[in-house]
Amino acid sequence: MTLAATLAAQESAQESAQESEQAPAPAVAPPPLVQVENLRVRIKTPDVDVTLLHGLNFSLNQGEVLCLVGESGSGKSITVRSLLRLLPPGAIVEGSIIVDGIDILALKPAQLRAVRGPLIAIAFQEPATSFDPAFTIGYQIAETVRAHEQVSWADATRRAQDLLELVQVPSAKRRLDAYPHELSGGLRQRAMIALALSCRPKLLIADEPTTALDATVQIQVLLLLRELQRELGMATVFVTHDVGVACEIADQVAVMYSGRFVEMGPIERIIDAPRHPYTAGLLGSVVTPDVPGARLEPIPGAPPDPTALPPGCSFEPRCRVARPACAQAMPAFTQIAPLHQVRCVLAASGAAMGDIEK
Amino acid sequence: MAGFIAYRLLYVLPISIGVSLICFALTYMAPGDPASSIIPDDASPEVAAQIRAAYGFDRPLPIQYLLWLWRVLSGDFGVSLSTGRPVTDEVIPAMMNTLSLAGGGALLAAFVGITLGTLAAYRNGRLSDRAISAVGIAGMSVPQYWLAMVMVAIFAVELGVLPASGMGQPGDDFGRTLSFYVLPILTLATVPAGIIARSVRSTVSETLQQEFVQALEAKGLPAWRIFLHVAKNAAGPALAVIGLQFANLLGGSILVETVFSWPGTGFLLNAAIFMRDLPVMQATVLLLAMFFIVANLLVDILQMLFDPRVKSARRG
Repeated sequence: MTLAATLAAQESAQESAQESEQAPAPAVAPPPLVQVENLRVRIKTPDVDVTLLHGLNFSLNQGEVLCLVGESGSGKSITVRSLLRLLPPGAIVEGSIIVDGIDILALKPAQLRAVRGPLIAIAFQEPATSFDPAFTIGYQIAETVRAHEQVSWADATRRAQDLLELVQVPSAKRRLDAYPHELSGGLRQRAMIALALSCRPKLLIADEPTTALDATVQIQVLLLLRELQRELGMATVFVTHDVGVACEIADQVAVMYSGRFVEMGPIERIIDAPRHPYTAGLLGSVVTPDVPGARLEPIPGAPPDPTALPPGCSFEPRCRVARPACAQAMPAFTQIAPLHQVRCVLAASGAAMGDIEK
Repeated sequence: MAGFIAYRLLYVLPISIGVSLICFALTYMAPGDPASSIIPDDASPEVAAQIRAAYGFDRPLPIQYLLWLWRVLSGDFGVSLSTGRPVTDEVIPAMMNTLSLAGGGALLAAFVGITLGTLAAYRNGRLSDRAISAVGIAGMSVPQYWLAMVMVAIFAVELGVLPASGMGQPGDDFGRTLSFYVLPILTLATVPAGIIARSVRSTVSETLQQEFVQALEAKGLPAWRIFLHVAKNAAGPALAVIGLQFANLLGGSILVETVFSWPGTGFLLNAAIFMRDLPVMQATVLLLAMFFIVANLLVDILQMLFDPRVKSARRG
């Protein structure tokens, strides 16, 4: 089953869930590995009370890659961290997150620990600060294996070496005894990926794993991730602010703005015919080798403060094609094609963004 | 690792020479001629010169220093001016008494400080955290001599359960000997326990805020394993504070030793100053300084064991 079909079925998500409960799922439509419905995250402490995610819906099949794209502060990291329930104190999560049939939000602490690693694993943005500086790379990978499987230190260390070889770390055996600060940025990120893969997760979360790297190293790590993802058949949620990176790896793209999806669809459709002005803006601010000398067009302004969102569409204040109606109410996330959803009043008119601007 | 230790030992050499120079200079910083305290007031100039020559006070200063250093290195600190006994016989037993007191005080302070500080960090901002911080500040701020006298008044005078002063008799059984340690150690440990608790609290809570702790949670590690990581990261800075406090206890126990009549270096130094007993002062100060240096060296080595980054940073 393709992701496209999953998305098409998403409108009637409740129905399909009931179906799969009542009867064995038909061979053509196994339930998706990840199913997120109406995910809302609110941070409430004595100092702040802010809603960061306003009801997200998405699903992901085994072996597929979903890219979350958006500017800093759009809620990408919060979204993926919700999947692991790795949120700051005071976070209130509503909605439902089902991964491989497990209701993540209902798990007790011990059950949650058992899920972190073998079912869902995460590779962080900053490998330099995400490894404990006081322990060797080999120890930190082996310790993760031992937290979830009944194996000896020797076996766990052997697995760590295999993993480092898998992510193409040269002289892996020697690197086991290296401390994080003794590795280069690229090698550290490879080691971080090895750590994430250590318990053979079904869902890999990659939270801007290439952002902190040099451009040349970035592409190496990206290619490695894509190769591993295909080889191991993992579902992957990949967070990035770089549309170019998304093109390299994504099957499906969800564009985020101010804690909401504004456009979601297969990567080809999003690149070729973006229907939301924000998506078009993101694409316009990327260097493309095909059109040398083309002017980059930055999106004017900055994302809105999540504590004071505008009453209508959150993007309206920055939007170049905004209509008076846009400031009145938040547009619905509408399906404009079987696998393509957009949150924009103009999208319903059927014109591609380029045409509207002309 | 061996290289690092050798490197740190090299540092110790110039510091030790500096310390020995200062100790030697003590003789001349004191008002008057160093020989004047030995020479009788009514001695003739000839006799006085004879005495000066006998002590080597008539030779050039660098030669005097080298001769003195040579004697010190071979374990001869001279003779006490007030008792006439060899200085080593006075200083070594006092040193042992002080060491046992400072060691006990440091252990107690470290145990209490680490436990309270870690608890407070984990309870960040809650009532128990604030209560512990208040106790810590109170512990840091209490004057030692006042605490010593209050303890004596309560436990020795009112309740009569613990001895008020001294070390007891040589023939006492173990429990009785131990009872003499209780009040001085409690008094000594209070201030460093407060300081250690505060510093451990801030180190641990800083560590808890680091990103890798969240990464450890994301790996599904149990809480006690995550604590091992936090502890190893916080151990270096905590050890530095504990080492410094131990070193302070070695030298800073003059008040406590005087209140409890504890025959240690503080007690001895106090007496030596009043008697203008220079050889004893020199030996005591020199030995205390050397202990200070060794304690710092040990802390550095331990810190390196806990934090691999220290090694590469200090070599480069």
